[in-house]
Amino acid sequence: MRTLKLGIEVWNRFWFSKQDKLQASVFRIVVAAGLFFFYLDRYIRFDFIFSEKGTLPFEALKKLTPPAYEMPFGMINLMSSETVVRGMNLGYLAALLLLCVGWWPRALTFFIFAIHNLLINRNPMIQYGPDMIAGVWLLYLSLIDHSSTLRLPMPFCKNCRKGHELERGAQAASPAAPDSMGFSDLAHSVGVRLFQIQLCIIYGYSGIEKLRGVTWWRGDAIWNALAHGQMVTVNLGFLRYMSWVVIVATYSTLAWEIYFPAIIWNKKLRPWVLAFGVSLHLGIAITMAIPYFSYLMVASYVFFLEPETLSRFIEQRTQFFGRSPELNA
Amino acid sequence: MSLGRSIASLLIAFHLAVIVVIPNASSHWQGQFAAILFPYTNFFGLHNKWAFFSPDPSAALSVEYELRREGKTIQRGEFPESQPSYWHRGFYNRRISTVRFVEQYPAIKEDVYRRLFCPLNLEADTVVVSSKTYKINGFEEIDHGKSLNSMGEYVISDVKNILCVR
Repeated sequence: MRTLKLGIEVWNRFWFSKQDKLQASVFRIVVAAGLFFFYLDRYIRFDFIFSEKGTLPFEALKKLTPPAYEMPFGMINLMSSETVVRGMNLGYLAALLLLCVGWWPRALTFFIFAIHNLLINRNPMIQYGPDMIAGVWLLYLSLIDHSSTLRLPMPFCKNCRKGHELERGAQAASPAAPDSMGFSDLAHSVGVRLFQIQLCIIYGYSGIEKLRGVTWWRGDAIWNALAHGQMVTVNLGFLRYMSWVVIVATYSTLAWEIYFPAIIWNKKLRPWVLAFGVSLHLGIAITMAIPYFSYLMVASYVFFLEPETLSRFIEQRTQFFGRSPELNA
Repeated sequence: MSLGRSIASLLIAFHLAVIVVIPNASSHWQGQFAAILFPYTNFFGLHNKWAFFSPDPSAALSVEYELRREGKTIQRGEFPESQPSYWHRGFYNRRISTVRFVEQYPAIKEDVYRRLFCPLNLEADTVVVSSKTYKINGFEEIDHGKSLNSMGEYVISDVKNILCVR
Protein backbone atom coordinates (compact mmCIF):
# COMPACT_ATOMS: atom_id res chain seq x y z
CA MET A 1 0.00 0.00 0.00
CA ARG A 2 2.84 2.32 0.94
CA THR A 3 4.67 1.49 -2.28
CA LEU A 4 1.53 2.21 -4.30
CA LYS A 5 1.11 5.54 -2.56
CA LEU A 6 4.73 6.41 -3.22
CA GLY A 7 4.33 5.36 -6.86
CA ILE A 8 1.31 7.63 -7.30
CA GLU A 9 3.20 10.48 -5.66
CA VAL A 10 6.17 10.04 -7.99
CA TRP A 11 3.85 9.79 -11.01
CA ASN A 12 2.04 12.95 -9.95
CA ARG A 13 5.23 14.85 -9.35
CA PHE A 14 6.63 13.79 -12.71
CA TRP A 15 3.60 14.53 -14.87
CA PHE A 16 1.74 17.26 -13.01
CA SER A 17 4.40 19.57 -11.57
CA LYS A 18 4.27 23.04 -12.95
CA GLN A 19 6.68 23.43 -15.86
CA ASP A 20 8.40 26.56 -17.07
CA LYS A 21 6.99 28.15 -20.21
CA LEU A 22 10.10 29.79 -21.56
CA GLN A 23 11.39 26.50 -23.00
CA ALA A 24 8.13 26.07 -24.86
CA SER A 25 8.36 29.56 -26.39
CA VAL A 26 11.96 29.07 -27.48
CA PHE A 27 11.03 25.71 -28.99
CA ARG A 28 8.05 27.27 -30.78
CA ILE A 29 10.16 29.96 -32.44
CA VAL A 30 12.98 27.63 -33.47
CA VAL A 31 10.80 24.82 -34.77
CA ALA A 32 8.22 26.96 -36.55
CA ALA A 33 10.93 28.98 -38.33
CA GLY A 34 12.77 25.82 -39.41
CA LEU A 35 9.64 24.07 -40.57
CA PHE A 36 8.54 27.12 -42.56
CA PHE A 37 11.66 26.97 -44.74
CA PHE A 38 11.64 23.18 -44.89
CA TYR A 39 8.05 23.04 -46.11
CA LEU A 40 8.38 26.08 -48.34
CA ASP A 41 10.82 23.98 -50.34
CA ARG A 42 8.27 21.17 -50.45
CA TYR A 43 5.58 23.57 -51.67
CA ILE A 44 7.82 24.79 -54.48
CA ARG A 45 7.78 21.17 -55.75
CA PHE A 46 4.01 20.95 -55.49
CA ASP A 47 3.53 19.45 -58.96
CA PHE A 48 5.94 16.59 -58.36
CA ILE A 49 4.67 15.78 -54.89
CA PHE A 50 0.98 16.60 -54.71
CA SER A 51 -0.51 17.16 -58.15
CA GLU A 52 -2.51 14.61 -60.12
CA LYS A 53 0.25 14.71 -62.74
CA GLY A 54 2.89 14.04 -60.10
CA THR A 55 4.32 10.78 -58.80
CA LEU A 56 1.28 9.77 -56.80
CA PRO A 57 -2.22 10.72 -57.99
CA PHE A 58 -4.94 10.45 -55.39
CA GLU A 59 -6.42 7.21 -56.75
CA ALA A 60 -2.97 5.58 -56.78
CA LEU A 61 -2.49 6.66 -53.17
CA LYS A 62 -5.73 4.96 -52.15
CA LYS A 63 -4.59 1.71 -53.76
CA LEU A 64 -1.17 2.01 -52.14
CA THR A 65 -2.26 2.46 -48.54
CA PRO A 66 -3.08 -0.84 -46.79
CA PRO A 67 -6.38 -0.63 -44.81
CA ALA A 68 -4.50 -1.02 -41.51
CA TYR A 69 -2.57 2.20 -42.18
CA GLU A 70 -5.45 4.32 -43.49
CA MET A 71 -6.28 7.51 -41.63
CA PRO A 72 -9.48 7.00 -39.61
CA PHE A 73 -12.86 8.50 -40.59
CA GLY A 74 -11.85 8.57 -44.27
CA MET A 75 -9.91 11.76 -43.52
CA ILE A 76 -7.62 11.23 -46.47
CA ASN A 77 -10.56 11.92 -48.81
CA LEU A 78 -10.14 15.58 -47.88
CA MET A 79 -7.03 15.46 -50.04
CA SER A 80 -8.76 14.30 -53.21
CA SER A 81 -8.89 17.82 -54.64
CA GLU A 82 -5.66 19.40 -55.82
CA THR A 83 -7.02 22.87 -55.01
CA VAL A 84 -7.69 21.83 -51.42
CA VAL A 85 -4.19 20.37 -51.09
CA ARG A 86 -2.69 23.60 -52.46
CA GLY A 87 -4.78 25.62 -50.04
CA MET A 88 -3.72 23.40 -47.16
CA ASN A 89 -0.07 23.86 -48.08
CA LEU A 90 -0.41 27.62 -48.14
CA GLY A 91 -2.46 27.67 -44.95
CA TYR A 92 0.10 25.46 -43.28
CA LEU A 93 2.97 27.77 -44.24
CA ALA A 94 1.05 30.85 -43.08
CA ALA A 95 0.20 29.14 -39.78
CA LEU A 96 3.87 28.28 -39.23
CA LEU A 97 4.83 31.93 -39.71
CA LEU A 98 2.16 33.07 -37.27
CA LEU A 99 3.25 30.39 -34.82
CA CYS A 100 6.84 31.55 -35.07
CA VAL A 101 6.03 35.13 -34.10
CA GLY A 102 3.63 33.97 -31.40
CA TRP A 103 0.36 35.01 -33.03
CA TRP A 104 -1.07 31.56 -33.58
CA PRO A 105 -3.49 30.71 -30.76
CA ARG A 106 -2.51 27.80 -28.58
CA ALA A 107 -5.99 26.30 -28.83
CA LEU A 108 -5.65 26.01 -32.60
CA THR A 109 -2.15 24.54 -32.70
CA PHE A 110 -3.62 21.09 -33.16
CA PHE A 111 -4.88 22.20 -36.61
CA ILE A 112 -1.29 22.81 -37.72
CA PHE A 113 -0.49 19.27 -36.69
CA ALA A 114 -3.62 17.92 -38.40
CA ILE A 115 -2.77 19.65 -41.69
CA HIS A 116 0.80 18.44 -41.40
CA ASN A 117 -0.40 14.88 -40.94
CA LEU A 118 -2.80 15.09 -43.89
CA LEU A 119 -0.09 16.45 -46.18
CA ILE A 120 2.34 13.73 -45.09
CA ASN A 121 -0.30 11.08 -45.75
CA ARG A 122 -1.08 12.58 -49.18
CA ASN A 123 2.30 11.40 -50.42
CA PRO A 124 4.14 9.06 -48.04
CA MET A 125 6.75 8.30 -50.71
CA ILE A 126 8.59 11.57 -50.29
CA GLN A 127 8.66 11.44 -46.53
CA TYR A 128 11.94 11.22 -44.64
CA GLY A 129 13.43 11.84 -41.18
CA PRO A 130 12.53 15.51 -40.60
CA ASP A 131 8.89 14.90 -41.63
CA MET A 132 8.49 12.19 -39.02
CA ILE A 133 10.10 14.26 -36.28
CA ALA A 134 8.10 17.37 -37.26
CA GLY A 135 4.84 15.44 -36.95
CA VAL A 136 5.51 14.32 -33.41
CA TRP A 137 6.83 17.71 -32.32
CA LEU A 138 3.77 19.50 -33.71
CA LEU A 139 1.48 17.05 -31.93
CA TYR A 140 3.06 17.79 -28.55
CA LEU A 141 3.35 21.48 -29.34
CA SER A 142 -0.44 21.58 -29.44
CA LEU A 143 -0.47 20.61 -25.77
CA ILE A 144 1.98 23.14 -24.39
CA ASP A 145 1.58 26.83 -23.64
CA HIS A 146 3.99 28.07 -26.28
CA SER A 147 3.03 31.69 -26.74
CA SER A 148 2.85 33.21 -23.29
CA THR A 149 6.27 34.76 -23.74
CA LEU A 150 8.73 35.70 -26.51
CA ARG A 151 6.15 36.86 -28.98
CA LEU A 152 5.90 39.92 -31.14
CA PRO A 153 3.32 42.52 -30.18
CA MET A 154 0.19 42.00 -32.21
CA PRO A 155 -0.77 45.06 -34.26
CA PHE A 156 -4.33 46.42 -34.06
CA CYS A 157 -5.08 44.31 -31.00
CA LYS A 158 -5.55 46.43 -27.91
CA ASN A 159 -6.97 43.67 -25.79
CA CYS A 160 -4.17 41.21 -26.40
CA ARG A 161 -2.06 40.48 -23.37
CA LYS A 162 1.11 42.49 -23.15
CA GLY A 163 4.31 42.46 -21.22
CA HIS A 164 4.93 38.84 -20.37
CA GLU A 165 8.33 38.97 -18.82
CA LEU A 166 10.62 36.03 -19.13
CA GLU A 167 9.47 33.77 -16.39
CA ARG A 168 12.19 32.99 -13.94
CA GLY A 169 12.68 29.27 -13.73
CA ALA A 170 12.71 29.24 -9.96
CA GLN A 171 9.27 30.79 -9.88
CA ALA A 172 7.78 28.89 -12.73
CA ALA A 173 8.88 25.38 -12.00
CA SER A 174 7.60 24.78 -8.53
CA PRO A 175 8.03 21.05 -7.91
CA ALA A 176 4.80 20.08 -6.23
CA ALA A 177 1.89 21.80 -7.90
CA PRO A 178 -1.34 22.24 -6.01
CA ASP A 179 -4.27 20.01 -6.89
CA SER A 180 -6.03 23.07 -8.24
CA MET A 181 -3.77 23.20 -11.27
CA GLY A 182 -5.87 24.39 -14.20
CA PHE A 183 -6.38 22.50 -17.44
CA SER A 184 -3.99 24.80 -19.29
CA ASP A 185 -1.10 24.20 -16.88
CA LEU A 186 -1.88 20.50 -16.68
CA ALA A 187 -1.77 20.12 -20.47
CA HIS A 188 1.44 22.15 -20.57
CA SER A 189 3.16 19.96 -17.96
CA VAL A 190 2.06 16.76 -19.68
CA GLY A 191 3.18 18.15 -23.06
CA VAL A 192 6.66 19.03 -21.79
CA ARG A 193 7.07 15.57 -20.28
CA LEU A 194 5.87 13.94 -23.50
CA PHE A 195 8.52 15.82 -25.44
CA GLN A 196 11.16 14.47 -23.06
CA ILE A 197 9.84 10.90 -23.11
CA GLN A 198 9.43 10.89 -26.89
CA LEU A 199 13.02 12.01 -27.37
CA CYS A 200 14.11 9.13 -25.12
CA ILE A 201 12.04 6.69 -27.18
CA ILE A 202 13.44 7.96 -30.47
CA TYR A 203 17.04 7.59 -29.33
CA GLY A 204 16.42 4.38 -27.41
CA TYR A 205 14.76 2.61 -30.33
CA SER A 206 17.28 3.98 -32.78
CA GLY A 207 20.08 2.53 -30.64
CA ILE A 208 18.44 -0.83 -30.04
CA GLU A 209 17.63 -1.22 -33.75
CA LYS A 210 21.30 -0.62 -34.52
CA LEU A 211 22.20 -3.64 -32.40
CA ARG A 212 20.68 -5.80 -35.13
CA GLY A 213 23.23 -4.48 -37.62
CA VAL A 214 26.56 -6.15 -38.29
CA THR A 215 28.43 -2.93 -38.97
CA TRP A 216 27.49 -1.37 -35.65
CA TRP A 217 28.89 -4.41 -33.85
CA ARG A 218 31.96 -4.50 -36.08
CA GLY A 219 32.65 -0.79 -35.54
CA ASP A 220 32.60 0.49 -39.13
CA ALA A 221 28.99 1.70 -39.41
CA ILE A 222 30.05 5.36 -39.44
CA TRP A 223 32.45 4.63 -42.31
CA ASN A 224 29.58 3.12 -44.30
CA ALA A 225 27.33 6.06 -43.48
CA LEU A 226 30.02 8.50 -44.64
CA ALA A 227 30.48 6.50 -47.85
CA HIS A 228 26.88 7.09 -48.91
CA GLY A 229 27.45 8.93 -52.16
CA GLN A 230 23.98 10.47 -52.33
CA MET A 231 23.81 11.80 -48.81
CA VAL A 232 27.37 12.77 -47.97
CA THR A 233 28.71 15.99 -49.42
CA VAL A 234 32.31 15.91 -48.17
CA ASN A 235 35.07 13.42 -48.83
CA LEU A 236 36.26 12.02 -45.52
CA GLY A 237 38.58 9.45 -47.08
CA PHE A 238 41.42 10.59 -44.80
CA LEU A 239 39.70 8.58 -42.05
CA ARG A 240 41.23 5.53 -43.71
CA TYR A 241 44.46 6.51 -41.90
CA MET A 242 42.65 7.20 -38.62
CA SER A 243 40.39 4.19 -38.44
CA TRP A 244 40.23 4.44 -34.65
CA VAL A 245 38.18 7.63 -35.09
CA VAL A 246 35.55 5.67 -37.03
CA ILE A 247 35.49 2.89 -34.45
CA VAL A 248 35.23 5.29 -31.49
CA ALA A 249 32.51 7.31 -33.28
CA THR A 250 30.54 4.15 -34.09
CA TYR A 251 30.61 2.66 -30.60
CA SER A 252 30.09 5.97 -28.81
CA THR A 253 27.05 6.75 -30.97
CA LEU A 254 25.62 3.33 -30.27
CA ALA A 255 26.22 3.55 -26.52
CA TRP A 256 24.93 7.12 -26.33
CA GLU A 257 21.68 6.32 -28.12
CA ILE A 258 20.97 3.18 -26.11
CA TYR A 259 21.69 4.79 -22.76
CA PHE A 260 20.21 8.21 -23.52
CA PRO A 261 16.77 7.31 -22.03
CA ALA A 262 18.43 6.49 -18.71
CA ILE A 263 21.29 8.94 -18.31
CA ILE A 264 19.51 12.07 -19.50
CA TRP A 265 17.59 12.18 -16.20
CA ASN A 266 20.80 12.54 -14.22
CA LYS A 267 21.27 16.29 -13.77
CA LYS A 268 25.04 16.05 -13.41
CA LEU A 269 25.45 14.05 -16.60
CA ARG A 270 22.80 15.93 -18.57
CA PRO A 271 25.02 18.73 -19.95
CA TRP A 272 27.49 16.12 -21.24
CA VAL A 273 24.74 13.95 -22.71
CA LEU A 274 23.23 16.93 -24.51
CA ALA A 275 26.65 18.18 -25.64
CA PHE A 276 27.34 14.79 -27.22
CA GLY A 277 23.96 14.94 -28.93
CA VAL A 278 24.63 18.41 -30.31
CA SER A 279 28.01 17.35 -31.69
CA LEU A 280 26.53 14.16 -33.17
CA HIS A 281 23.76 16.07 -34.93
CA LEU A 282 26.13 18.82 -35.99
CA GLY A 283 28.31 16.14 -37.54
CA ILE A 284 25.33 14.67 -39.38
CA ALA A 285 24.22 18.11 -40.55
CA ILE A 286 27.66 19.04 -41.88
CA THR A 287 28.56 15.79 -43.56
CA MET A 288 25.21 14.33 -44.57
CA ALA A 289 23.25 17.33 -45.80
CA ILE A 290 20.12 16.56 -43.84
CA PRO A 291 20.30 19.74 -41.71
CA TYR A 292 16.61 19.90 -40.85
CA PHE A 293 16.73 16.52 -39.16
CA SER A 294 19.54 17.64 -36.89
CA TYR A 295 17.87 21.01 -36.36
CA LEU A 296 14.60 19.46 -35.17
CA MET A 297 16.27 16.93 -32.93
CA VAL A 298 18.53 19.46 -31.23
CA ALA A 299 15.64 21.94 -30.88
CA SER A 300 13.89 19.53 -28.53
CA TYR A 301 16.88 19.54 -26.16
CA VAL A 302 15.50 22.83 -24.87
CA PHE A 303 13.07 20.80 -22.74
CA PHE A 304 16.01 19.35 -20.84
CA LEU A 305 17.61 22.71 -20.13
CA GLU A 306 17.27 24.34 -16.75
CA PRO A 307 14.84 27.28 -17.08
CA GLU A 308 17.24 29.57 -15.19
CA THR A 309 20.07 28.80 -17.61
CA LEU A 310 17.85 29.40 -20.61
CA SER A 311 16.45 32.59 -19.13
CA ARG A 312 19.95 33.89 -18.39
CA PHE A 313 21.11 32.99 -21.90
CA ILE A 314 18.24 34.88 -23.53
CA GLU A 315 18.68 37.88 -21.27
CA GLN A 316 22.35 38.07 -22.19
CA ARG A 317 21.52 37.90 -25.90
CA THR A 318 18.79 40.53 -25.67
CA GLN A 319 21.02 42.86 -23.64
CA PHE A 320 23.73 42.41 -26.23
CA PHE A 321 21.34 43.58 -28.92
CA GLY A 322 20.27 46.48 -26.72
CA ARG A 323 16.78 45.24 -25.92
CA SER A 324 15.02 44.52 -22.72
CA PRO A 325 14.08 40.92 -21.94
CA GLU A 326 10.38 41.79 -22.22
CA LEU A 327 10.51 40.98 -25.89
CA ASN A 328 6.83 41.24 -26.44
CA ALA A 329 6.15 44.30 -24.34
CA MET B 1 -5.92 12.36 -6.92
CA SER B 2 -8.54 14.58 -8.54
CA LEU B 3 -10.82 13.29 -11.28
CA GLY B 4 -9.06 15.46 -13.87
CA ARG B 5 -5.69 14.04 -12.99
CA SER B 6 -7.02 10.49 -12.93
CA ILE B 7 -8.40 10.86 -16.45
CA ALA B 8 -5.19 12.56 -17.58
CA SER B 9 -3.17 9.70 -16.03
CA LEU B 10 -5.17 7.08 -17.92
CA LEU B 11 -4.68 8.94 -21.21
CA ILE B 12 -0.97 9.37 -20.54
CA ALA B 13 -0.56 5.69 -19.67
CA PHE B 14 -2.33 4.67 -22.90
CA HIS B 15 -0.30 7.09 -25.01
CA LEU B 16 2.95 5.91 -23.42
CA ALA B 17 2.03 2.29 -24.10
CA VAL B 18 1.36 3.17 -27.74
CA ILE B 19 4.58 5.08 -28.37
CA VAL B 20 6.59 2.33 -26.71
CA VAL B 21 4.91 -0.58 -28.52
CA ILE B 22 4.45 0.87 -32.02
CA PRO B 23 8.09 1.22 -33.12
CA ASN B 24 8.63 -2.48 -32.35
CA ALA B 25 6.94 -4.04 -35.39
CA SER B 26 7.68 -7.60 -34.26
CA SER B 27 5.99 -7.16 -30.88
CA HIS B 28 3.11 -9.57 -30.17
CA TRP B 29 1.19 -6.69 -28.63
CA GLN B 30 1.01 -4.92 -31.98
CA GLY B 31 -0.89 -7.86 -33.43
CA GLN B 32 -3.04 -8.41 -30.35
CA PHE B 33 -4.11 -4.80 -29.95
CA ALA B 34 -4.01 -3.75 -33.61
CA ALA B 35 -7.68 -2.76 -33.58
CA ILE B 36 -7.02 -0.15 -30.89
CA LEU B 37 -3.45 0.83 -31.71
CA PHE B 38 -3.61 1.47 -35.45
CA PRO B 39 -6.56 3.90 -35.61
CA TYR B 40 -4.86 5.88 -32.83
CA THR B 41 -1.41 5.91 -34.46
CA ASN B 42 -2.83 6.60 -37.91
CA PHE B 43 -4.79 9.55 -36.58
CA PHE B 44 -1.83 11.02 -34.70
CA GLY B 45 0.84 10.00 -37.23
CA LEU B 46 2.70 7.95 -34.67
CA HIS B 47 3.52 4.83 -36.67
CA ASN B 48 7.24 5.47 -36.88
CA LYS B 49 9.96 2.89 -36.36
CA TRP B 50 12.67 5.35 -35.27
CA ALA B 51 15.28 3.26 -37.03
CA PHE B 52 17.69 5.90 -38.29
CA PHE B 53 20.82 4.41 -39.88
CA SER B 54 19.78 1.00 -38.63
CA PRO B 55 20.12 -1.90 -38.59
CA ASP B 56 23.05 -0.85 -40.84
CA PRO B 57 23.61 2.39 -42.74
CA SER B 58 22.24 1.71 -46.22
CA ALA B 59 24.11 1.93 -49.48
CA ALA B 60 23.17 4.54 -52.11
CA LEU B 61 20.30 3.43 -54.32
CA SER B 62 19.14 4.95 -57.57
CA VAL B 63 17.22 4.11 -60.72
CA GLU B 64 18.70 4.16 -64.18
CA TYR B 65 16.24 4.86 -66.96
CA GLU B 66 16.49 4.51 -70.70
CA LEU B 67 13.75 6.04 -72.83
CA ARG B 68 13.28 4.23 -76.13
CA ARG B 69 11.36 4.70 -79.34
CA GLU B 70 10.91 1.69 -81.61
CA GLY B 71 13.75 -0.09 -79.79
CA LYS B 72 16.25 2.77 -80.12
CA THR B 73 17.52 4.65 -77.10
CA ILE B 74 16.58 8.32 -77.26
CA GLN B 75 17.43 9.41 -73.72
CA ARG B 76 19.22 8.00 -70.71
CA GLY B 77 19.48 9.19 -67.16
CA GLU B 78 19.59 8.44 -63.48
CA PHE B 79 17.12 9.27 -60.75
CA PRO B 80 17.91 10.99 -58.49
CA GLU B 81 20.51 12.72 -60.64
CA SER B 82 23.87 13.95 -59.32
CA GLN B 83 24.07 15.79 -56.03
CA PRO B 84 23.03 19.43 -55.90
CA SER B 85 24.76 21.91 -53.60
CA TYR B 86 24.31 21.58 -49.85
CA TRP B 87 21.58 24.23 -49.57
CA HIS B 88 19.47 22.88 -52.43
CA ARG B 89 19.05 19.39 -51.17
CA GLY B 90 15.55 19.37 -49.76
CA PHE B 91 14.00 18.11 -52.97
CA TYR B 92 16.95 15.85 -53.74
CA ASN B 93 16.50 14.11 -50.38
CA ARG B 94 12.81 13.64 -51.17
CA ARG B 95 13.72 12.01 -54.49
CA ILE B 96 16.07 9.64 -52.66
CA SER B 97 13.13 8.75 -50.39
CA THR B 98 10.91 8.19 -53.42
CA VAL B 99 13.29 5.60 -54.87
CA ARG B 100 13.69 3.86 -51.52
CA PHE B 101 9.93 3.76 -51.02
CA VAL B 102 9.16 2.49 -54.52
CA GLU B 103 11.81 -0.22 -54.29
CA GLN B 104 10.03 -1.51 -51.18
CA TYR B 105 6.64 -1.68 -52.91
CA PRO B 106 7.06 -3.50 -56.26
CA ALA B 107 3.31 -3.22 -56.92
CA ILE B 108 3.55 0.53 -57.53
CA LYS B 109 6.91 0.51 -59.29
CA GLU B 110 5.64 0.47 -62.85
CA ASP B 111 3.06 3.18 -62.31
CA VAL B 112 5.36 5.57 -60.46
CA TYR B 113 8.29 5.17 -62.86
CA ARG B 114 6.01 5.61 -65.88
CA ARG B 115 4.80 8.89 -64.40
CA LEU B 116 8.32 9.97 -63.56
CA PHE B 117 10.21 9.13 -66.74
CA CYS B 118 7.85 8.98 -69.72
CA PRO B 119 7.05 12.73 -69.66
CA LEU B 120 10.79 13.49 -69.96
CA ASN B 121 10.63 12.75 -73.66
CA LEU B 122 7.23 12.63 -75.28
CA GLU B 123 8.52 10.66 -78.26
CA ALA B 124 9.37 7.64 -76.10
CA ASP B 125 7.16 4.57 -76.36
CA THR B 126 8.90 2.54 -73.65
CA VAL B 127 11.18 3.13 -70.71
CA VAL B 128 13.62 0.56 -69.36
CA VAL B 129 14.31 1.02 -65.67
CA SER B 130 16.84 -0.77 -63.51
CA SER B 131 17.72 -0.43 -59.84
CA LYS B 132 21.33 0.50 -59.05
CA THR B 133 22.78 -0.30 -55.64
CA TYR B 134 26.15 1.35 -55.17
CA LYS B 135 29.02 -0.43 -53.50
CA ILE B 136 30.41 1.17 -50.37
CA ASN B 137 34.03 2.21 -50.88
CA GLY B 138 36.47 0.39 -48.62
CA PHE B 139 40.11 1.04 -47.68
CA GLU B 140 41.31 -0.36 -51.05
CA GLU B 141 39.32 2.15 -53.08
CA ILE B 142 40.67 5.00 -50.95
CA ASP B 143 44.22 3.68 -51.47
CA HIS B 144 43.54 3.78 -55.20
CA GLY B 145 42.71 7.47 -54.99
CA LYS B 146 38.90 7.34 -54.84
CA SER B 147 37.02 9.65 -52.52
CA LEU B 148 35.04 8.00 -49.75
CA ASN B 149 31.70 9.30 -50.98
CA SER B 150 32.27 8.74 -54.69
CA MET B 151 29.71 6.53 -56.39
CA GLY B 152 31.66 4.06 -58.46
CA GLU B 153 30.83 0.38 -58.66
CA TYR B 154 27.23 -0.71 -58.51
CA VAL B 155 25.00 -3.73 -58.88
CA ILE B 156 22.12 -3.62 -61.37
CA SER B 157 18.95 -5.44 -60.46
CA ASP B 158 15.29 -5.71 -61.36
CA VAL B 159 15.35 -4.49 -64.96
CA LYS B 160 11.85 -3.59 -66.12
CA ASN B 161 10.34 -2.59 -69.47
CA ILE B 162 7.52 -0.14 -68.99
CA LEU B 163 5.19 1.03 -71.76
CA CYS B 164 4.69 4.77 -71.99
CA VAL B 165 0.93 4.98 -72.32
CA ARG B 166 -0.61 8.30 -73.23
